[in-house]
Amino acid sequence: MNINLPIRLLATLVSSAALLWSGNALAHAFPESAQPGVGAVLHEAPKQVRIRFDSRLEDVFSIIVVKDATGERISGRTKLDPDSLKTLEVSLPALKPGEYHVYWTALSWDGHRTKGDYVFHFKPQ
Amino acid sequence: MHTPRSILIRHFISLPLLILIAVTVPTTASAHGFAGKRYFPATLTFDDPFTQDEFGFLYSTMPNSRNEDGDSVDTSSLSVDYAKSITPGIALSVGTAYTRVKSPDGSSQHGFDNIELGAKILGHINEASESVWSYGLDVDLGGTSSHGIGESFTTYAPSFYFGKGMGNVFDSTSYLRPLALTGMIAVALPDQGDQPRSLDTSFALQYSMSYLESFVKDVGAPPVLRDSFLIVELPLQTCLDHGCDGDVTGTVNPGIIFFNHWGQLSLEAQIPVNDRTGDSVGGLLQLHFNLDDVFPNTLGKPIFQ
Repeated sequence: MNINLPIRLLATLVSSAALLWSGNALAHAFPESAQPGVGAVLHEAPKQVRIRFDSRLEDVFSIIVVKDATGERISGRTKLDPDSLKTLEVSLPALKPGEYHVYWTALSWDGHRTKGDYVFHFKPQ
Repeated sequence: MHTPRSILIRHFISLPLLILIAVTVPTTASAHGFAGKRYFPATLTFDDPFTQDEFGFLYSTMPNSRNEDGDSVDTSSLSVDYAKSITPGIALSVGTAYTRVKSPDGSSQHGFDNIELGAKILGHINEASESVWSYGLDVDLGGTSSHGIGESFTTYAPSFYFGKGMGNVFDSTSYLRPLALTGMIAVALPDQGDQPRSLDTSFALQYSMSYLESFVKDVGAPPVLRDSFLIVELPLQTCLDHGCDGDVTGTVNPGIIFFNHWGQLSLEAQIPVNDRTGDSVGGLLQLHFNLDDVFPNTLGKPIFQ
């Protein structure tokens, strides 16, 4: 065995990794995009919160909860997009100006759970 | 005389005892590198605080580094490590490396380094404070390497691991919230009295672009950067006795980690902290797989749930 073998092996591994990287995955679900955006300052009140994840989700255990600055829950029931199974959505009532906190929990198809939260602000002009 | 086989058998016999001790300790259920919403990646120069199923390769090159005699040598290695979760809070690991050491006179040695065994127990995960700690024991099995590559003596290293995210430290809109610190503190204890003991301290300051984009502020980073960590690792080794008391060797390793569902691909530079370590910049390339994501229903889950 000489030093070229480890290098060739490493090259093979990196190539394999590149192939794996492009594959379709289950596993932990991470958010790809959110509306309203993370940390956004909005001048028009949003009517819903939508978060798109990078993995398919289980319906029952994947939720979004939106709370106002006092900690009161204001969002409705969470809906999972039946086509992609990757997008969660909740409707919002008419918002007053202020800070809002979005909490989400996502259970991917293989049982891995992730969760997170972020803030957006509604400041009408 | 101990053959590599007899040494392996002797140490594997002690593993069931280690497991028995481990299962008597209360643990918290583990979750693949997560403490709350904080995801901690696998660091390159030391183990992360989690007990999970993982498999990885690490290529290291370090030109003009100092060997134990103070001579300048070029060192490169390809290491492989596998960790298996026994329960959600207990994991065992095994690893080795194929190493090449080239001397200035052109001569070189190459072969497999000693086999390393490890056991790790998850202490606690606090989701709200994004913190985690664990402890374990690593054993470098002397005499299991190719001739002239590894040490002839066995080294035991009781270790403490921790991770702390800054998400709950700063204001909700602060750009410092994606920061996290992980570390390992270990004491390396050779089983031969004429060998020096050492204190191994490793720290990693990491900035999660994913945390920034998902929980703090969507700055519109391109996808490849969105799933990345900017990281600086600081692995240091301090000699404790036998005439080298207080001598420090180590490197500062700035780099970047790209991750996805399968694992991560990471690059780091290795910059010597002093002349005692070396005088040239080396590098690290890591390919790491999270087996609980790749094989969630077979290899990737604990033997006992």
